[in-house]
Amino acid sequence: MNVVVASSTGLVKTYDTKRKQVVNMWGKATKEDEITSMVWANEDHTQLILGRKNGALTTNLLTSGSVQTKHSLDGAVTGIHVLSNDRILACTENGEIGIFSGDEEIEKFTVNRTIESMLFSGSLESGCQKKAPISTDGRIVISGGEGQLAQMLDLETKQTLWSARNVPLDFLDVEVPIHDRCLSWINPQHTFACVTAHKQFRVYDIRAQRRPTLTVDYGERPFVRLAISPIDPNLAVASDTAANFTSFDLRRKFARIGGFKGVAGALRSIAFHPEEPLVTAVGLDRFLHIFNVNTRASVEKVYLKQRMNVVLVSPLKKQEEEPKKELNSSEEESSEEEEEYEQEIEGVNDILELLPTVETETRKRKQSHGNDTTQQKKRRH
Amino acid sequence: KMSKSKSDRIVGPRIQEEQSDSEEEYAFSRPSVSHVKNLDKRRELNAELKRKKKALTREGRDKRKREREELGDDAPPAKQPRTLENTREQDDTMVTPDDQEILDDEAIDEFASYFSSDKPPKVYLTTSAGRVKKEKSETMGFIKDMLITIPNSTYEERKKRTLKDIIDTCKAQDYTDVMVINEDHGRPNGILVSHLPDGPTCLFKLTNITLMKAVYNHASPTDHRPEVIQNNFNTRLGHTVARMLASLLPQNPQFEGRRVITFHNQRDFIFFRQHRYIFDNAKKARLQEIGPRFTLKLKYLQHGTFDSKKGEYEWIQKPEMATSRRRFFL
Repeated sequence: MNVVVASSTGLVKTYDTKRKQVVNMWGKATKEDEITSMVWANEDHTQLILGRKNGALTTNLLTSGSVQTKHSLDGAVTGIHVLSNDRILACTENGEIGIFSGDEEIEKFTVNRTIESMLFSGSLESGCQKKAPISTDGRIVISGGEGQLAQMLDLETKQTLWSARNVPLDFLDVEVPIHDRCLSWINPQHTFACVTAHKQFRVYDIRAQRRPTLTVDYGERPFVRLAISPIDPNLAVASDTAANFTSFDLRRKFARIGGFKGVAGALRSIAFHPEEPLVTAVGLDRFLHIFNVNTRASVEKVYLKQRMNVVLVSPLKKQEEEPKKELNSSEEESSEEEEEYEQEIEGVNDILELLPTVETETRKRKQSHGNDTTQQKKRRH
Repeated sequence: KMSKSKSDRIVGPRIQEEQSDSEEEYAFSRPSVSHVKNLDKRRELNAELKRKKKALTREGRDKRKREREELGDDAPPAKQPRTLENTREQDDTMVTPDDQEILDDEAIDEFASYFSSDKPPKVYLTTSAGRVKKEKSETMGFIKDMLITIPNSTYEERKKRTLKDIIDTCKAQDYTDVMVINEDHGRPNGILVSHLPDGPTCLFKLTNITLMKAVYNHASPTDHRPEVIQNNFNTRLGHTVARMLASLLPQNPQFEGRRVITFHNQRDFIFFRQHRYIFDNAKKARLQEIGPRFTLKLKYLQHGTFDSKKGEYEWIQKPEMATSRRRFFL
């Protein structure tokens, strides 16, 4: 897979895990242009959207870094989301939210709060509160800042559809401090989790209530980042300020499964591989860490020289395997589909060799996924 | 008789080998005498083995010496003893002097303003809260020495102020660094250095302090700006720490003062020494120590000014990192 990393000095590097080297690097080392947020602009991962500390929001080509579109916002960009029709939704630390399309600015408005993390919710099928209108447009959940709770905003009407409420006063009748650091969807329709700088893990269900449905105090240090596995929605990993990187079981109410070793500094960004049980993380210790999520073994630890803020994962594409295919004899053209799939597996072989292969399948799964599996296809999770 | 033949069997064949690395083979595959139950006999055998080994080593050494004398320049290079330093675990973060990325990084880091401008550092010293107040306080002795050692430094009593407040006040008063000498049981045991505008914070463990007056035959300190020597700060983390320590002292040394401060890093311990030097002739110099002497060990490097609650750590010492005796971080 390719791992794209954005450093705190404004450099963007692409690391190829197969070739085990940095294959691409662009950007100018500056202090003001610190990249604070980065997402893929398109599905084939050829373009990036970068948000910077000075509010600059640009779409760049992954390979050359050339700027395709440019916008500016007020404050450090803390959240970016790609909407349908190639529109970009971005929010900043100072509370400004903007929607852009290409070079045009469709909309910009400000909310009176700090935004450290934003989640986008597509159209909801049911309203979250009795009074809330059923809307097919986007809604976003935003949170961040000391003492500020999460809220859900409707992008069209800019109304707060739902806002969180803090847990009851503690046993000393003191308000429980809150500072959400990172939000993550558990169910993109209605349930999200967040980790706080006060060592808490919270789950909010918008359908149910304003108060968190789950609050767990964990650890000795403030959390920095949370990520939930796309393959296994019960698996969450979180990093804290003191270089602890831990995996948690959401079914058992955020019980600790185990820690990932070898991390020396706070990890600011975590990215799961969409298919394989791999997680990549970068942070202040200047290393790119790749771990196997199940065994928690370190797959790779790459020194990348700068402190890093964001990491993105791009799995290997089929197109990259075509040159290899040409070398093979033409006899194999008959089972082309099979070939392609085989090569896709071969392509990630060197990583997968280190992973355990789980070949157990239940009948239910087989039935639900249909019969499009070839003999070689092993179920990995 | 049994034991005699055994001892012959053990020793005989190896001695006959004339190869130069036989002694190494012997050293690593030293035959075991643990099967011999009798203590006296075992002792005897061990003593003999030791003698043989010594003879072999001696033989090898003499041979190499003769070789060196005969061949002169053509002789193979002298064998270096293995030390923890030269068998150090390979570290990916070692900085090479021509690495443009690191140079760019350092050109914009928190210390760039110090290195690029003439602005002298202004250091604020204080202690941890609730220091033991007594006549011969070790902490105060150390602080007095530091006030002399670090130019443009001032000391103020802690008086129950929080570090965050201290840092805010110092920023307003244009200080560049805050140094907090931590005291435990009446003795200084740590230094917390926070570089001021928004620089990193380092916590060092402070040990082996020898005050100026305790250094035998010490030279008197002067006001001259010292030269600074930093040894062995090779990794990226080492570079940051070195820059941090260097930014405590002013940049343009007064060479006529012949005063030099050394931060020597060895095995992650940083040794601080201060000397006065004089050149007898172009090649030979003599040193006289001014003092104080102390040792530092980095405990953590935190991003930003001191914030123990929410600060993110760039490097924090963890027991899990001590994987081998040959692994160092600076």
